[in-house]
Amino acid sequence: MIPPDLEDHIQALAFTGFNSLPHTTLLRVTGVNTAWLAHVLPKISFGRARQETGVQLLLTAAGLAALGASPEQIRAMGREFANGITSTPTSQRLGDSGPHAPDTTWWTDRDHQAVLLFYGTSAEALAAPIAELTSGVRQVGQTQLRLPPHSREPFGFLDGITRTRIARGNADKGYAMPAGTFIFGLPDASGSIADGGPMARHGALVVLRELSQDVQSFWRYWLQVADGDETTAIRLAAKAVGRWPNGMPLLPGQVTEPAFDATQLDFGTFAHDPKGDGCPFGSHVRRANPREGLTESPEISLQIAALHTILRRGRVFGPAAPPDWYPTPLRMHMADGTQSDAAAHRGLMFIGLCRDLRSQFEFIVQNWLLAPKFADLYNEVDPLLAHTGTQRSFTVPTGGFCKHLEGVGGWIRPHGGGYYLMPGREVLRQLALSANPRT
Amino acid sequence: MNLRLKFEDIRDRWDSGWRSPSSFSTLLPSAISDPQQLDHLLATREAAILTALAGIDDLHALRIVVVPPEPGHGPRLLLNSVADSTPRQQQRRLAAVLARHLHDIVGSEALEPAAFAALLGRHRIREATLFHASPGLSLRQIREDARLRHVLREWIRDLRAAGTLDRMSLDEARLHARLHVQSLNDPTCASGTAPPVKGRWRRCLDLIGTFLFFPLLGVLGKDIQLAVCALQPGVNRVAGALLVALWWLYAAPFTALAFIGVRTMEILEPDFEPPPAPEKKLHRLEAVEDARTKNELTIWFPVKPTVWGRLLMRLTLFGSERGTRHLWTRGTLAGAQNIHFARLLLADGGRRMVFMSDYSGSFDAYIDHFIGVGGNTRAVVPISSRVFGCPQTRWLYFPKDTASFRTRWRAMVRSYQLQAGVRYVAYPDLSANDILSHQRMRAGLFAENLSAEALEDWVRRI
Repeated sequence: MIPPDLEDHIQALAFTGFNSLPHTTLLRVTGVNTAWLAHVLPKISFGRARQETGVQLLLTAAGLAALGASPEQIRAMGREFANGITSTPTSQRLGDSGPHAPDTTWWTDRDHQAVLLFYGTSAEALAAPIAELTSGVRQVGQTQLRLPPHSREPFGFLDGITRTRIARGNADKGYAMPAGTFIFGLPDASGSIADGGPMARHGALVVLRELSQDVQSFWRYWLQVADGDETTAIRLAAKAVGRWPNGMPLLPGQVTEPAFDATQLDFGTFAHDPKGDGCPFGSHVRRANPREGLTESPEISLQIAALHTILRRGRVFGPAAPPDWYPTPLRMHMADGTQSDAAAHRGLMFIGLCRDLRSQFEFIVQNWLLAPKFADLYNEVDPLLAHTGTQRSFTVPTGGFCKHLEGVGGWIRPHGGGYYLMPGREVLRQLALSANPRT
Repeated sequence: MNLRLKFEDIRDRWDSGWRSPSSFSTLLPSAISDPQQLDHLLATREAAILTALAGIDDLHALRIVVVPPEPGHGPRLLLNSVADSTPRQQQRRLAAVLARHLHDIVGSEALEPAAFAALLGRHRIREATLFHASPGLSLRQIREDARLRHVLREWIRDLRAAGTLDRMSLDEARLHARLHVQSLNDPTCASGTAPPVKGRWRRCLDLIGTFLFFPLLGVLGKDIQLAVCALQPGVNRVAGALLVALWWLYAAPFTALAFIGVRTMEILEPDFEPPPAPEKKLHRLEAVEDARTKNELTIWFPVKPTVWGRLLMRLTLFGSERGTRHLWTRGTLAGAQNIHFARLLLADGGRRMVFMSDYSGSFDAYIDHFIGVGGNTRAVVPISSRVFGCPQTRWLYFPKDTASFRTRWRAMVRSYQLQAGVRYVAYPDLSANDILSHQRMRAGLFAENLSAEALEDWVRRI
């Protein structure tokens, strides 16, 4: 448990997704300095207190260096953070190869020093704080993010269901995790404390990844393999995602989407579906969090999975997709794209928090999502993240012989991203006062 | 042929069949004193060497590793191969294809394969421990089984497209699939079950001899118990449990003494932490490891620098070899499931221990498999605890400081790890699990009868 006064040293994104503030502006800036930081610091949201607007500050390795951090202090937070998201080993682990290899169209943590995240009730409400806090630095990029009212990501599936969170106290169970799972300087489930050096104290590492989604190709594929039958297309797409579009879990024997029941959304294990007849082993949800499926012992498996957990705070970017790209049953939910620009970029800004990039975020991507031999599967990767440089098949158990769908993937494409430190209050204060913590 | 070679020949023949494929290792002195130049030379010749190796029809894997210079030694080449033929045959075959690529590097004037083979033999190091996840399976069988899977998948797809699959029961489909495979007359996927592994009697004798003459093996108590539990329920398991219980009466005092001896040494030995691997080395290792699904690990460990340290390492490897022969024969190395081949050798008079493995997945997942939460620490801690630089242990199997053990152990591995300059794998896309699964797929296809449960398991494998 974190003492309440300590919570106020940790930026608010660790505790909340700012769900009451649906509009977000993500600003990438360079030219950071201690005077600017001193100006920004009082506006940053810390702890669990709710506000009308929220401001969060993330620093790249270069940003920390510009504010006086030494190379040793930066490396203490991990080689992955110091080297950035486009370094060769990291790119390989994240599957950023072939058509997904970083190119000149990407923005990365090498082209800016800090990210400011502004959360508000409307775009207009953010104009004043943005103007105020960007004076003295140079903007290199801006992305508008939003939390759609239907809470569905662009493919039409309910998102943000699993509420992994930082525990409020020892009695806080379920998806509540010890703060040290995500925050430096606090104990995790095993009792160990990640130090990360003086700059990391009460901070978390943050991953940003801009993932554009080709909604039209996604549904065209599933309709094609379903021979145009919309019910089958939705069922097969749900198998690939690992949930029904309305977020309900896939259970063995189901052929159509069950009615929405909020109490049934969360499930801690796949004990009800040991052979993957409902939710296939290769589905995105089952790969991203295998729960008790990693070892023969469910308890140990859950412990292992917990060590690799990250906090997700992703938001949608770009206009909604035209409703006629979706199968008919989904159009009523995705109707906000009637007037939208079909050719525009749309997708998800993945925002993940952890304290060890290698053993949490990169581990999940490399060893679960993109592992061709995951769960005894034979040469296939996550059906959503597959692309022409990877195996593109997906196994659907049917109760008899499995179906092997070929040519899945190619619908999600990264366009940028970076690794950041979300510093704690005390570190920011010392940096702003030019009292470098290394001294 | 001198006495040592004769003795090795007898041991090789004793192991052939039931211990195949076999491993051949040699540590060749190099004529080139600069290890970087050596690395560069191997890199420039790698493609030609790999092409030549592909012509050896029973070679599963091969690696050539540059061992950096040490006091008393210049740079050396560690060469290891795993093949279906005996080590002696491997030595000759490798010499035939490698002589012209390596003769100048190792300073051999003779290009003649026979002379090169003699050189390989002169510097041979015998494996102290050799683990196979799929003992007895030849390269040809592995390829045939993988092909069978492909054939069955295509057959299912065609039947499903034609709409006939749904009209068959699962067992009818299996029998039709068998007829289909037989009718193909395709030698690349074979049309029957694999021949039984040879040397069953030698294996039985080896088992009896092992447990009769080496009561210290009680230190593998948990694995012995698991091996008994894995026997078919019924007479075999009851008899096995009874025999083990009787054996314990004899082995318990020796085992207790062994544990006390080990514990005494653990208390007396100093704690040493090797220098961390430099960033450049880590970057180079990761760039290669993270790009492939099947990886290799080669570690050049220093053994604890005392007579007792070296003696205990020999005993530990002897015990682990008995384990790989008789206990860890079902695809897992003391519980770890992602290793296909592992071999441990002692070099330089026991002052160095070489660990080589071929594994599936990433380095991180591999390490987690051993020392992460729920990891199979009994596969790795007893052996590595005899290494100079291993974090301290308790009673051979347990880390002294659990919280720091994993980080320190991982850093130690990276510190002593060497990267193969040349690496050949006959089936880079097949994990040990795939190979075993394919084997079961063939067995299920050609089985006379399958229970409902076994039939469902067979169907899901395709």
